[in-house]
Amino acid sequence: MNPTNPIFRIFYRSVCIFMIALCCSLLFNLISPKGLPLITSYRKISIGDKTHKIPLFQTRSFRKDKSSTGQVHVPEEIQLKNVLFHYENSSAIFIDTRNHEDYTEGHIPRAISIPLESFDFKSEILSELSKDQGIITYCDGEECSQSIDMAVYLEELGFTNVYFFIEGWLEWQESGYPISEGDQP
Amino acid sequence: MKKTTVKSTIAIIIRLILGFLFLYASLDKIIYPSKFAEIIYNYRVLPVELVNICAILVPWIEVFIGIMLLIGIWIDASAFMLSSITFVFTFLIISAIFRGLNIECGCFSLDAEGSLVSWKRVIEDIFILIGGLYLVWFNWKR
Repeated sequence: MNPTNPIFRIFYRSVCIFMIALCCSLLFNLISPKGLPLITSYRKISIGDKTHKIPLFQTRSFRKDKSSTGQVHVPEEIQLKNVLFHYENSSAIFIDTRNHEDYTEGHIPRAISIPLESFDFKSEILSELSKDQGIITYCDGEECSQSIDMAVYLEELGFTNVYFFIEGWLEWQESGYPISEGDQP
Repeated sequence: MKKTTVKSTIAIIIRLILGFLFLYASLDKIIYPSKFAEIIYNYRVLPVELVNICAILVPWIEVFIGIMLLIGIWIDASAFMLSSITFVFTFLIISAIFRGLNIECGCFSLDAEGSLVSWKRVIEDIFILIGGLYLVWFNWKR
């Protein structure tokens, strides 16, 4: 190949830039306290015939701390009648994982709004809760997966009694159960 | 002013703007890699396993493209990489819009407010792409 050929020259230089970037990124990731594991860790959750892979975007240091805390629990699906039971007996906290706009338009009464995209592993609300507190997460319905993602994240934080309500807000609303409007629980 | 001088002045301005833009775009992603990984995952195009490595690597590619353009070394290759990466970003944003995904763009800052995927972002990317291709063309035989 002719080194003065522009295509060869651009290709060669691009590969060099890529390799330098690759080395620097790996080195920085290795020494940074916010470094990530190279292969994304995830949890498998089976719902019916489908298996969902829920990624855990946590830093290496967070995972190291957590691995010493012991047993890992797997969140479970919960059906509408049981959700209603917990609602009527106030025996679980509801977490609405949809965005704030949807939450304001209507939500399960007493549900806390924690949109998945703004979830913080160091959330103050969560740090005040007991680890065996019953928690039910929900989103719109079967088409969305934020409720499952959130349930997995909560289990990762050490909560042992977490359920995801897969039929979510749509089924709750269609069943004619109480709803609240506005940005307050 | 001679025609060639005008062209090289335009090339310098574009180079500096794009260099600064890419350097700026990489900062948040390097500081908050887990947040950027989450944004990549939300596009639902990569296998889950590969999301982290992309979140680690892409911002550093942007850093080096930015630095090279700012200091004026290997402009042809940097502009080529900038154009390629912008083309992929544009494609991903358009595909997210068509799939009805209301997700963060992850374009410049990782702040959720005002950075959702939208046609405005696509237009911005197209301008960046045109700038990148101009630089490739301008530096093709230099």
